Amino acid sequence: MIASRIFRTTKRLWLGGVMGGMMVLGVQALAVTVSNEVIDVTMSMDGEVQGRDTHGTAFAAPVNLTNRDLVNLALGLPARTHVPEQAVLGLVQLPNTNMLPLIVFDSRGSSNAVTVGSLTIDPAQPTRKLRAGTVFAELNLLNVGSISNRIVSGRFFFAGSNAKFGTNGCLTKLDGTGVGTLTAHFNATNAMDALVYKTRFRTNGNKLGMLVEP
Amino acid sequence: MAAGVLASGALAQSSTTSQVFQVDANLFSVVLTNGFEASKGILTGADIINLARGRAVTSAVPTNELLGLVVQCGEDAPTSLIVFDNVSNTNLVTVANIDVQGVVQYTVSFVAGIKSSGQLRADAVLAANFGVSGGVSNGWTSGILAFPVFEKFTNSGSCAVQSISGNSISGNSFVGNLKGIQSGTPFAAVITKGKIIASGRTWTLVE
Repeated sequence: MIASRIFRTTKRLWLGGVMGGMMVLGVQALAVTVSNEVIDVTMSMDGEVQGRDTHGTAFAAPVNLTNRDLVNLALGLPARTHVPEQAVLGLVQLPNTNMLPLIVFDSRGSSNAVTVGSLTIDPAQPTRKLRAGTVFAELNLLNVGSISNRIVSGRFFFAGSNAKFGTNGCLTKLDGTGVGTLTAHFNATNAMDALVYKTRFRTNGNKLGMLVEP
Repeated sequence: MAAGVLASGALAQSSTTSQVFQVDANLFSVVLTNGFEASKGILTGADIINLARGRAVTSAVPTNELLGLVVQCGEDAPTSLIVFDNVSNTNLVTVANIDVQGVVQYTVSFVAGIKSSGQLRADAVLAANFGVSGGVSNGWTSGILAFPVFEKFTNSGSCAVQSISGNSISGNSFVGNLKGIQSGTPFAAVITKGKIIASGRTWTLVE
């Protein structure tokens, strides 16, 4: 079985009624759903944020963020708090594309709780001919969350030496390290920039479930 | 009328003064050509200069050409990477325009426990966007280089950056994806780690 499959299903809906003064009977509408596999993601970010003490003196405070913090912020919850069990950070496997959505996957509902951002693997990376090798990837995060706990934006760059792709072009493995910045609200209404000097983005291709979307 | 305006100097442009920090680079790269990983090696500052000037990477770099990080006076982080002519004090070619992704300034650091420093410092994350430079057989076509830099400032003056460096030592990352053409063959170089080394020498660029 290939690593990622797309299932296209149709739901037959029979509509009837009066439209524009014309009787319409037995019109068949097709609702198409697409299912894609969602695979595991482990991400860590080590860096620092701007701080000021009570005297106004600027200091650099270390910061370490993980999956838990990203999921919480994306859901509008405080970082460092307990994450709902069914909320998992995942990468949606799309075949033959270089931009993969990063989502908070609801493993119970097989649904996308929130799209966190997208991982773009350089389309010119010719290593796909080998289906394994060194790649460069860029992760851009979206403006998601609540007023006081929120990801405003994020941009990260990774180099991974042992990325793998399936025969259908789906990314199946990536272990990249990189650098970037995260702008977020951490229990505050003011956004704060976190400079990330070392970040790791890893997927082993473990399947979290199927994402079913209309 | 336009000539009259020009002659009167009404449209004269204001100049900007920048600090140019002489740097060298050592970028560990995986080079891909024609779809395959062709080689692994180190991309040096001389290689960057040579390609930006349209020369083969094996060429000797003229002694007046140096790789420079440009910090506009009044700013707190570099805004471009250039090939600087230290005889004419001019920018020979801009290799990359730099987006400053973020800056943290401090005089007291809690990064390694509690330690104090009276000197103003700044840490920044940069994304250097390589543009087209060089020639049709040897040159840069595009790419990005992302890395942190660590700066020290003097306590006075507008051109206040005293030193600047960036490296992947101490666990920091230094990554990139640079594309160019070498001896007529396109290549992509994925940078997996590296460093930008400041020599300590600075120059003034007025544009």
